[in-house]
Amino acid sequence: MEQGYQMTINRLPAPTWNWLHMNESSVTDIKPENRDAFFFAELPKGVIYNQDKRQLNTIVSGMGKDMDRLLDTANVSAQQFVIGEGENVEEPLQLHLSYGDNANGIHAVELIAMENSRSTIVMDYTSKARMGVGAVSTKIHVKRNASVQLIQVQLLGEEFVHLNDVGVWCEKGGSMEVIQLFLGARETYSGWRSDLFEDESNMTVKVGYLGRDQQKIDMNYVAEHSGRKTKSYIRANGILKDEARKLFRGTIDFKTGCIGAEGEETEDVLLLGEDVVNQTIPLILCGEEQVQGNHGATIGKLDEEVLFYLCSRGMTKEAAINQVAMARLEALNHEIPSGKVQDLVQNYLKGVFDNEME
Amino acid sequence: MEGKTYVDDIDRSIYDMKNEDRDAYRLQEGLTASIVEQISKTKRDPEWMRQFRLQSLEIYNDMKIPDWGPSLDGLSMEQIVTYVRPNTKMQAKWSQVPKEIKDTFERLGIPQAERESLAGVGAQYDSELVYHNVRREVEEQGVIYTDMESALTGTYSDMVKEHFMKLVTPRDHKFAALHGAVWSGGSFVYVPPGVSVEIPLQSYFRLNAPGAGQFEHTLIIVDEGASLHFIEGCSAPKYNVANLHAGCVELFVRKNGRLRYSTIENWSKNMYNLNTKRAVVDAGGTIEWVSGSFGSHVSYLYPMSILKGEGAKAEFTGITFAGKGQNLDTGAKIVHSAPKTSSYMNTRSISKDGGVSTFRSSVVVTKEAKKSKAAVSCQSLMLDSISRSDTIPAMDIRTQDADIGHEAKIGKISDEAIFYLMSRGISEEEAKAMIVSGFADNVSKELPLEYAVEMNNLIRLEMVGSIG
Repeated sequence: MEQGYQMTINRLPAPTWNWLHMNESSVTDIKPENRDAFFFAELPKGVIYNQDKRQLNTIVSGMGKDMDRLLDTANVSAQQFVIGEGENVEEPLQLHLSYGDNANGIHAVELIAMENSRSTIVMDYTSKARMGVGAVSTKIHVKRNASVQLIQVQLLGEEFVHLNDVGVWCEKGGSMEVIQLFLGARETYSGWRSDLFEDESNMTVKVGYLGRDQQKIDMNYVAEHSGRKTKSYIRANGILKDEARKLFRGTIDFKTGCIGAEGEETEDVLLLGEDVVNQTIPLILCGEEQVQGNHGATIGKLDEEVLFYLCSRGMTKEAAINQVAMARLEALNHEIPSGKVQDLVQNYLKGVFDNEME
Repeated sequence: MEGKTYVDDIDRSIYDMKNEDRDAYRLQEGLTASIVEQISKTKRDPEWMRQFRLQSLEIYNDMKIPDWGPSLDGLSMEQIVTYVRPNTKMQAKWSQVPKEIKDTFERLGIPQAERESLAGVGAQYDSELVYHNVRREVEEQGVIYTDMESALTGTYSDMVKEHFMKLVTPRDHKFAALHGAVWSGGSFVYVPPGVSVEIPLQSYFRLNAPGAGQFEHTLIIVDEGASLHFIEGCSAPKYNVANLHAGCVELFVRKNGRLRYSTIENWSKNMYNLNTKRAVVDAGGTIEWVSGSFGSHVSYLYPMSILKGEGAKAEFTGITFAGKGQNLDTGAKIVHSAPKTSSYMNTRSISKDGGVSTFRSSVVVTKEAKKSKAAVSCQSLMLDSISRSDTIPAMDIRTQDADIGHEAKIGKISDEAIFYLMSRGISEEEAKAMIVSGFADNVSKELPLEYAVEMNNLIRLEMVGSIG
């Protein structure tokens, strides 16, 4: 039997004091094997599917090399999707990752969006069981003037360990838009990296998360600007309850020569538990004069005035807090271009918050 | 094509004056137990301090060089002289200080500042203080301001022993351990309960010897309800060998006390400035740091405030100017460990001519620090694309009942602002210079105006012309 795997992932592009324990994360006991993990794709017209050796190995991901090493060791081939040149794929490409009891799944997804194409991919992660491991690598090559929207929704069982790693390479005028919702699993590790390599490429990432009980959420998001007039926007919006722990690393990296580039990063965290741990480290690395970079973070509990208003309308304090928390995540859910997935999320959230009200 | 602005470096001619190396005594280069013993013997340490130094050396040898900051490859302890005693004893009158050394401090404006606006001055030259004086009216208030060596064996020796390197321990990091082993010079200040020192005290540190290190220790205790403004300045001439500064500042602010600690750091560009500063603040107390980092080849400087008592406050205002050949890693650390504590960090950094400026910070709010507030604002200005400017702020929040805000901006000078000023009849060159000056002024206005001639010289950044 394969031994558990030791991985160091989500490294900060520029490290800081080791005593903060934010420079990277370690994951143990990931088995480099596939067991009771299932992958389904709903292919709309205009998408070519193939299962083959991984091709996009040169694209660097947010988690880093250890994720690629895991895929190599597990001998994972790629689920490859190609959007043809000029194709405007109206229906989303839906990828379902489903896990059985005590599953261990390692998957690689590759998407090549050819020139001037438009496409949407919706990935959902669900499990019937409480416990298991799901590791998914998604690499995307956005060619000239192509536009890709990626939705990832994670609703795994409460004892799951989930690794979700993304790497994106954008050519001139390429556009990448992302919505991610992390609501389940005991440990969620999310890596994201976009290389805005050529001029006028852009990316937007919106992340929503809910940490409760003893959940751990560990994130590393990097937007690297090499091309001129490139744009990035990273927004994380989360809720931490009970004894949940979260670490958000966000980096905007302006390389020398990315004249006219703009990057913005914001994080808004609502703290709803006496024992939560919230760690945030938003970096701006800059080697170019003619850029604009901003980051901002607000971290705190629910505004007393909002709470007072809701309570004055007859709600209990707990109900009011849950209402606000749910509304934050639902706002992002409403942006998902799939009614089916929206319903899935809504039901999941309802289950979480209703249980707490009982 | 648009012309490229040139922003002058700070005029360093005042700081680059060198005196011939005529020290009375210097140890050999390197760091060994024998060297540490010699320092201890030379300084007539009490036995506990001798032991402390040797333990610190062991810790130093066990610890690793930091793996997260600017490179320290150019620094070799084998080539650093850790103790250089100038050819004079500490004097209480400038007229008794050897002419050459006195002239150096005259040109830096220290005696003049003392006459005009300071309550007391300590002047260190290489490893020892050469001048120390405090106004009689301040002494009459019961304020103790003396050199560390005198404090170590004098009336306040127990107080020194109780506090010395308790806040910054040798285990903090490798260069804190180094400091513990070879420290020399520095000041001890005690402000009794309820005493308000109306005008500032100042210590000035001058390193003249090439290839030497300076390891002064500053220990300040501001007792209950007392207040003090302490100013620290430092400079050195430039040599083509590495110099090292690994000082240590420990500040204790008791209940409802108030301390402002201002620093203008202008070491030469061959200096490795690996300084450690820390304050602990009791209930209702306030620590204010005002920090200007202009010199050094490499800097690691992050004053830390531990807000230990309910309602304690910290404010950090800093500016860093990194020019050619400089890698300045600066910022601050704040720990909120009691309820209703508050902190505000406000920094500016400017990078030009290949300089690297990094703003690094941490705000830690513990579970006990309910109803605490923290805000961080950092702004960086890049004046060309051969320079670098990075911001690395970390926040670790462990209570829901806190209010934390953070914002950072990086960029060039706004075209709209230039256009606006030009539409009011100001030339483009002048408009851009005004904007850059304004960017720095936002922080520099917090610096003490009375801070001798040196500070003005540094703050006047002589920005001319347009910025690209």
